[in-house]
Amino acid sequence: MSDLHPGIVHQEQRFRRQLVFLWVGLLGLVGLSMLLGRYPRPYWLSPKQLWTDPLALQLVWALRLPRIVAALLLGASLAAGGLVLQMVFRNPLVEPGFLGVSQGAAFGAAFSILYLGGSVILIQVSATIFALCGLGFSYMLARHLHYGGWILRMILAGIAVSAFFAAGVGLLKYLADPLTQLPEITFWLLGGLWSTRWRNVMAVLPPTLLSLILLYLTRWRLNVLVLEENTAFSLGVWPNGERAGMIFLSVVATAAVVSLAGMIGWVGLIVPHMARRVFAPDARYALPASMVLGSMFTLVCDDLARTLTGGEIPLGIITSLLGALAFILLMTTQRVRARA
Amino acid sequence: MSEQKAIEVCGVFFSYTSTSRWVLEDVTFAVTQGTVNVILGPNGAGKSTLLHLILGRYSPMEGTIRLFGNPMTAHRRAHLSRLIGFVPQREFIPFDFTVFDYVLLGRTPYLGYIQLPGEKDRRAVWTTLERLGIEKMWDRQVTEMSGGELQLVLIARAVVQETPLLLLDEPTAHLDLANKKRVLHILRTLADEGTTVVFTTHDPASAAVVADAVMLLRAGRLLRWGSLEEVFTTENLSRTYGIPLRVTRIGAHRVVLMD
Repeated sequence: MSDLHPGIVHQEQRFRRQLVFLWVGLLGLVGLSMLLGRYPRPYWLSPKQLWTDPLALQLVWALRLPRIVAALLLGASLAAGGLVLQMVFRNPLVEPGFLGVSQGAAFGAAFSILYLGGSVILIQVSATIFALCGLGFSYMLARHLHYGGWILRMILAGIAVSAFFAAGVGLLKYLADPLTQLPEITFWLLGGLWSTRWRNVMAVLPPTLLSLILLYLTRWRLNVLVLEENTAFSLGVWPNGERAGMIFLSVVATAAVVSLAGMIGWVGLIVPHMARRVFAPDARYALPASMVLGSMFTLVCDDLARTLTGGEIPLGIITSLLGALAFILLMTTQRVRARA
Repeated sequence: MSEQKAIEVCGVFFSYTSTSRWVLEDVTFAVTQGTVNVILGPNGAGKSTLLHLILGRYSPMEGTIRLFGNPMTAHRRAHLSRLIGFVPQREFIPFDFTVFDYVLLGRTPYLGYIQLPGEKDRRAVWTTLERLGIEKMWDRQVTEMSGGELQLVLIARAVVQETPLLLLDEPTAHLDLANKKRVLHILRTLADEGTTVVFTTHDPASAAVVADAVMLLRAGRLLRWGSLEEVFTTENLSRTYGIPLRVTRIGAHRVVLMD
């Protein structure tokens, strides 16, 4: 048996090295983020102060750290969810927000706040159910549209379903108690982490982490699902069942973090593209890279959101701004292969 | 042992919905191990459907299909993927996988549910690429290959699966003459080394070059099946395609002419 081409071994080693670099970068960023903020003076908290100033320590532990963990979970889930949907739908332009998932989750959350009492668990369950409904409706509608190719039909269906749920959210806002319920609902629509405490983080941690770990472990199967149905079948994969499982996991993760942070756009579209560009489309590398890059991207955006001005800029605005810029850059410089 | 049948199709009827007419009607034939078998017929004859039935993608409404002596239903999905390799007519790959990473997917039947391919799998891929003479393209992107190159990569992905049976749907349909010859030569070599090869084509010339046995399919019915010598006649081919054709011999080769 002849020897492997040395390039193959080199490439795998390079990818592993780059992943380690990313993890180190993420850890550094977490440390930096703990010190960034507006106490005691704008932008910077000296690490020495953590030992001398009990208020500083309290602030980092109770306010900044849960927020950082939330940003990490949020970014990892949105980016991983985006990558999984792109691969499962065999379409590099798919994103949870495009397919009615985010709007469905927001509707579910608002519905639960208004009619189900609004406990954190109930909000999550309701957000997940309606997120799955949003995806299901989009998919079914896309199959029945008689216009355009598959990508166009998916996007049109997603727009229609999102608009349907957005109207529902509008109606719920109109019906909501303007003093107690309305502010809570408005929060979903802008998106942000300013009210995040450990309690909220702990509520979304189990479903999110579990979904991400399961997706990570089964990422080789994800590669196979990119193939034509008959080919995937011939390789021993159950195409429809495994697709449905992957979609379910990514929607659970997405809906959980949406119930925590509200609607955060563009992370799920742009980060997988970056991950594929830096590494390879192979999910062995693209999935962990998406998770880490998504965490870094969201953490940076949240740092900007809370540090840039005296007030707080909604996180969704910053991710959309940076995400859209990155998207324009990618789409004008890279040939994205899509069957329109 | 060499006469054991790889595939036995017996009285198979199939349609995609219960109300529509039969796509396949009373199809019966057998495939000997280690031979090249060609399902030949015009467009829409049901060739691909027949291939998908053998793959196990659909079940026949009536009749049975046996693989290596056992009925189709006796093989579990995971086991089937180690028996049958499949090369589709076209494979749209939406992401720019490298040739090596794409061919590596062919090792999936040997991996556990959460297992990643290892050193042994990478070696198997490299050996296959060398065997098909495409190892120099290992780091090219599958999205940027010509039709001929891509066909070889698709075949490599199925060969690395190391199955005793290989099904190919129109493997020569979009190829120029040089690539066609290359692909047919590879299929011949695989069969000579013991793999049973079954492929569909609408092109009698491809069949004439490599086939040991030919199944003539027209409108869902199997008109004739048997060895190339028996089946490849002027009368049979004219009936299959519904136009007057003539089969002549030049040396050892059979040539199909349109009158």
